[in-house]
Amino acid sequence: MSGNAKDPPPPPSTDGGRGGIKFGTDIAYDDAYSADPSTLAGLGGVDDDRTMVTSLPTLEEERRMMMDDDDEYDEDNDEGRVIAPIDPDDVEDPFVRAAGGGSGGSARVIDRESSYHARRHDRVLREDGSSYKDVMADVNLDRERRELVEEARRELLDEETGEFKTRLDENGGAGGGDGGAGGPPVGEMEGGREGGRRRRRWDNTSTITTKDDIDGGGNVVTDGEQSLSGSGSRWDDGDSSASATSAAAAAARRRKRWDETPVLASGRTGLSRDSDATPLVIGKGWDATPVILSGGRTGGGTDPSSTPLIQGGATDGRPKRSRWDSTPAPSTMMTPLLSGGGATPSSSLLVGGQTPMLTGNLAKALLNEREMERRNRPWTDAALDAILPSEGYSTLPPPSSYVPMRTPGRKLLSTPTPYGQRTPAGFVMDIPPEEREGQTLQDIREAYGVPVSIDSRELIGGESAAASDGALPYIKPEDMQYFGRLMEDVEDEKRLTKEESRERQIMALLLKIKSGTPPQRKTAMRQITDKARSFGAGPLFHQILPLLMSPALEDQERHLLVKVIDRVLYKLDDLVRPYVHRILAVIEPLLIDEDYYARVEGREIISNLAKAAGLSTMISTMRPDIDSPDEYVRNTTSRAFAVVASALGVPSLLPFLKAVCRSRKSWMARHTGIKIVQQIALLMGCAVLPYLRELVEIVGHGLTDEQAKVRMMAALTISSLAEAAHPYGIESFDSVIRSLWKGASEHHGKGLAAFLKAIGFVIPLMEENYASHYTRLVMPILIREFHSPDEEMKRIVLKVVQQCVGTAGVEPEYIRKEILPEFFRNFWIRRMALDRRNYKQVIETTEELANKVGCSDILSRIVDDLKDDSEPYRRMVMETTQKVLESLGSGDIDDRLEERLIDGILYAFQEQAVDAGTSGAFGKEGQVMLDGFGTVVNALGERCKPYLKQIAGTIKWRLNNKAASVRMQAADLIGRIAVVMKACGEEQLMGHLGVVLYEYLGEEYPDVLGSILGALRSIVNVIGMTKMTPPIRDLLPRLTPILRNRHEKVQENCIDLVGRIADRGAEFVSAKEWMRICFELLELLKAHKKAIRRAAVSTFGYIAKAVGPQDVLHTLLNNLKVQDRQMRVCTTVAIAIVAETCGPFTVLPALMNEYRVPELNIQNGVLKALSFMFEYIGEMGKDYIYAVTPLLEDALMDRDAVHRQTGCAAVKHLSLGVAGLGCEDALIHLLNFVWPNIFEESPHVIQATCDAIEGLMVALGPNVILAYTVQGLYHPARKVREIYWKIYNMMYIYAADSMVLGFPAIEDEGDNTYARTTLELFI
Amino acid sequence: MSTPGGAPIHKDQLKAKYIGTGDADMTKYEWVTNMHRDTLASHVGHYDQLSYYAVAQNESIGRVKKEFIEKMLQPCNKPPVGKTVAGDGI
Repeated sequence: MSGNAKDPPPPPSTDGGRGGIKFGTDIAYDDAYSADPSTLAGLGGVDDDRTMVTSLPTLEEERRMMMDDDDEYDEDNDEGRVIAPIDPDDVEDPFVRAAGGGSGGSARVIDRESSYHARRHDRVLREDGSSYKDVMADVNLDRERRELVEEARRELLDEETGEFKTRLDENGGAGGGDGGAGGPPVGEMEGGREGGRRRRRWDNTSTITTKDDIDGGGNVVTDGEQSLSGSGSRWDDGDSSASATSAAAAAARRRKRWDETPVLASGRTGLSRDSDATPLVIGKGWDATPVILSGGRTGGGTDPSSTPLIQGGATDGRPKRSRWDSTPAPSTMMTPLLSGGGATPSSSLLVGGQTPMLTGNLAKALLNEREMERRNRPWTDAALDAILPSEGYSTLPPPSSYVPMRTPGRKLLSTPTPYGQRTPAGFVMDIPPEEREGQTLQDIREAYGVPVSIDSRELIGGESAAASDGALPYIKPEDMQYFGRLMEDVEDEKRLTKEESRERQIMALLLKIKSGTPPQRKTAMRQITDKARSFGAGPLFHQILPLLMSPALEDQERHLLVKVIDRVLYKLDDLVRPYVHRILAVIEPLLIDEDYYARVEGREIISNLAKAAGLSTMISTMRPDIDSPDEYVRNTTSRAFAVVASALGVPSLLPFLKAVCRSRKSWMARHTGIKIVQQIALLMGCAVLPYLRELVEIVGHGLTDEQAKVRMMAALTISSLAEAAHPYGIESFDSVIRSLWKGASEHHGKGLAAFLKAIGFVIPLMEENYASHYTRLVMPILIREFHSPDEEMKRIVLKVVQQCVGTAGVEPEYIRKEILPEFFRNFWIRRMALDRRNYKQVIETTEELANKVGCSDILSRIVDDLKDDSEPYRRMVMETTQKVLESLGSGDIDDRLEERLIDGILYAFQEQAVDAGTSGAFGKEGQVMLDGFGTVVNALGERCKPYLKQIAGTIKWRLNNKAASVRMQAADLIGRIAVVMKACGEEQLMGHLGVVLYEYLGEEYPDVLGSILGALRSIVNVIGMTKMTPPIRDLLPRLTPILRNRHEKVQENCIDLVGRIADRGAEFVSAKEWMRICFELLELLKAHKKAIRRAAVSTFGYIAKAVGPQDVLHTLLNNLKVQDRQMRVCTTVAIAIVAETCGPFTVLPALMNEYRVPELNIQNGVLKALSFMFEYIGEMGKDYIYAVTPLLEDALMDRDAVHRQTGCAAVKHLSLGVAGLGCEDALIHLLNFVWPNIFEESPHVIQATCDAIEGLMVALGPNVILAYTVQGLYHPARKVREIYWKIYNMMYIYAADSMVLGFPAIEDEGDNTYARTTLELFI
Repeated sequence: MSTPGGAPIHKDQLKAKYIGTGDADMTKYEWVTNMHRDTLASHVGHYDQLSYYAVAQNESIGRVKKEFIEKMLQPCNKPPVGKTVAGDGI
């Protein structure tokens, strides 16, 4: 569902056990006042309906929410909400979602749609006056009709060939013998269809299968019983289950996808499959295997595209075959699997059950096994016949003693599995020609170079191939109603009309986009974009839009389809005009989607649509929706209008808005008009400032409208505008202040809340004295409303108080006298701490009050509540105390208050409810207490001294607690207050705590251990190495094994502590211990967290400084040999750091010596280390440049591109370091080696080369490089010119001015004087 | 190609931002024209150079500056006949 953590608490649920209806699940209804009171009763009265968030946040709100994590009352919740009555039809099968597994279920848009959102399906398409539901129903009918026609035609055809009757009989017989599992009569199907309103999918399956069964079963009359039942195609499954159960199903419970799962088509044999659970598998896996394993006796493919279809050529020689004929005949192998009489869905065990369990390894093993199986299979006689000449050879019988090896164990996995042949991982050898399906003898002979005889064009095993029509992706059963026609074989492409073929083309492209593989999707997307204009807007949108309304639509598919619309829109441009309304009807719901990206996408589309169609089209199209009786339509329309306004500019829309807001015809139009303005404010933020006056005037008179809803909307819009304009634009609001005022004094209830909110946002824009004046005026109303029982009103009042108090003109004395007593009486009560939104708003308002009246005034009122019984309330006090002290400090806290405060925080800290069940973190609540405690102690500073003993006692006691979370929090607290303890001179106490912590180093919970290490580090930090107890020489050896801990928090804190000790107190520990630590550190270079790797690398530097570089360097150089790239990179950094800290001369000889090892990784490592080293040592590089030049020469000439790349990086850093230090000779020499690399193809190498040239440009001056560059600017080869111009441009960007002197002199040519004569002037 | 900050820069943007940059299809005339303009702009931009040329030509600094700026309009005369040059300014 919404999954939004910031949701308001769910409104009371009236749905009886369907689970609470969450945010976005509540339905909006239009008129809170006109609604049936009985529906409202469930909500506890009319007033309550504003406690729910009634609309989804727009971008602006989203941003705000992210900023302050605030889920405040939404601006535009003028509409109340009731919970949708439950449609009995709609009660979901609880298994549906589970059945969908990872792929289906929750991914579908419709599944997480609230009933409000679902109203998009009811939207009336004005053109033909039908809703999408109707349209879809029509589509279905249409389809069925077409199929019936098709079927009739086929029957006719069959009769002509005289085969029809027989086959039908046989088919019926099979069905009858099976208890009616055969083709059901059409009437029955119709009956089934009427079973439920939403049973479309179901119906479709059966519709399709009608035909399927008749001619599918009829055509495949190959070897008697087997193929008779062999019509068990994908569609048959649905059908057979349909027929078997349709009568019952129609009456009984609603049937979902599960029901369509495999039931055998007919009793004896045949394969059935779960068409839903494992969609991809079915297409190919099943079809392919039987063919191979049964030596090509039976088989076929449901997916005509993927496998060439094979059919018993002996019996059926007719050239025309529909795809229904080509369903796989069951192989003998299948039979045992489906031995349960065929009626039980046993194969679902095989397919549905097994596939998801396939882990990577198993799948691979299976694949390999299959592969081996295939390759080691004996040649079939047919294949041998094909290759070997017919005379001169005879078939020998196998020796009588020969027993074929049977190792069932090895064969265990080689039963036909549905998962083979698809996407083999890695390289797979081609299937030899004789084993490919559907190969004619001739093909095999051709492949093996055997002369071809003319009459041998029959297929191996007597099968014939069916045409494959390009790989189409698998069509989900739900999508059959849209794409089903693609599956119909087109008998003759030429017989299709132009429209039909175009339709098929679009359909295929859409299918590929919707469910194809990424490459398919990409090409299809490009094709549909390129051909958009030739397809025309009509055919495109007639197909895209219904797809978008499909109930089975998934998020990803929606995204893709929306993308299609976007691309197509761009191409179609004004051709799109006739479809604007239909597109809007489909896209507008995206604007109120829960998903942020869907909203952004929706905005994008509407904005593009507006640009393509133009303002007048947009207005004339959307105009009728503005006073639609349906609130949903008006809501989405207002948002869409706001998007149009931001796309085409607000000014162009102003006259229209003015007219709408003054509409005499209906209040709904006025309401929507005002709402559009509100949405514009929310969408555009401060960009409304230029039109602020106009917008305010447009909505201004709405404040005095006779309709209460319009008044409220106007007030909310004013508040949005004021918020968007803050802190400017008060003059624009002059015209409405009087009516705002009047409204605030006249109304009550919800109306008053809206007006107060508007006033609250307008006051901060005012000048001081006005703000003060109006604050005094509004305050009595606010104080009166302090008592309001309405939660929403409370929050608004708090917010307005916060805004009023925050303005400059309000005197502290006034606040103290007038506001504080009432405020604390009404809001500092336990109940306020229970609702998260109230809680936050109370804290914010109190903070604002404290900013005005000072810290002690507020704290003295609440501090005793730190000992309150209710924990949430204590937490609220703690958080407020923390915020107030943070911003104001503890200056005006007197001794008495100080005592009460410390007493309170200690109590609150100790009384936290321990959540021992969790793995050791208190979570957010514990964090509040910890932060509060830390802030109070730090704010009081030295004044804490008398209490430190007590605090330390508490900490020690809690460090010993059973619950891990308590221990962790105590250790964290030490980290917070260590600085204060030092400031208070409590070194002895800290030493004591140090020893205590030291004793707890055996802690087993990694989170706690991490905190303990953090606490130790903070103590070491403040009291220094020498005074530390336990002494460093004891502490460090204890840390060495902890370094091996793999937990990130432990690693990070431990390496920090070790690094700190290595930096400051290395002398306390023996060199041997440090070397031991060095080895441990190498492992840390593998850490995922960058901070850990960085700390480890710099610790190498400290250690090298302490114990001398030799040993450390040795360790590091050895580490260059490892395979792990990240390790090597970190090692090179460490080497460079050692070189930096100990002087390059200590490191370079060994490093350069290491380059002689003829191993790629090591040499690269050395080069990289050099590169980092030169980066770190900067101009010190000038002492070493001549030493390393030969090495770099070698690297830059190496055959390995990575060598050259790293060499270039080293040259870059080197040259940047020595710029201006007189090393030009060496640098030019290096440049000569760098330069040829500009022709390198690999982007990394070319980048590194360009970097090196840039560096050399700095060191040598651009004109040297220019001299190299002009050589190739007009080279005959374009490739050469391109890179030279690239370098030229690079130089031009950096140093155009200095290049003036380096440009070549060019001779005049005809009329053109190319000589730059000014440069020749001299005095 | 990247900006001095390291962000990649598209060819068209590059041309828009740094008018004097070139590409593999640049004609000689275009390139030299850019060269001249850069040179003249450099002269105008450095006051010491400007005063040097003023002394050398025995002209006032202001006039020299004006001449340079005017010359930037078409420093190498008209484009060669037969070759239409895009983006030349005239």
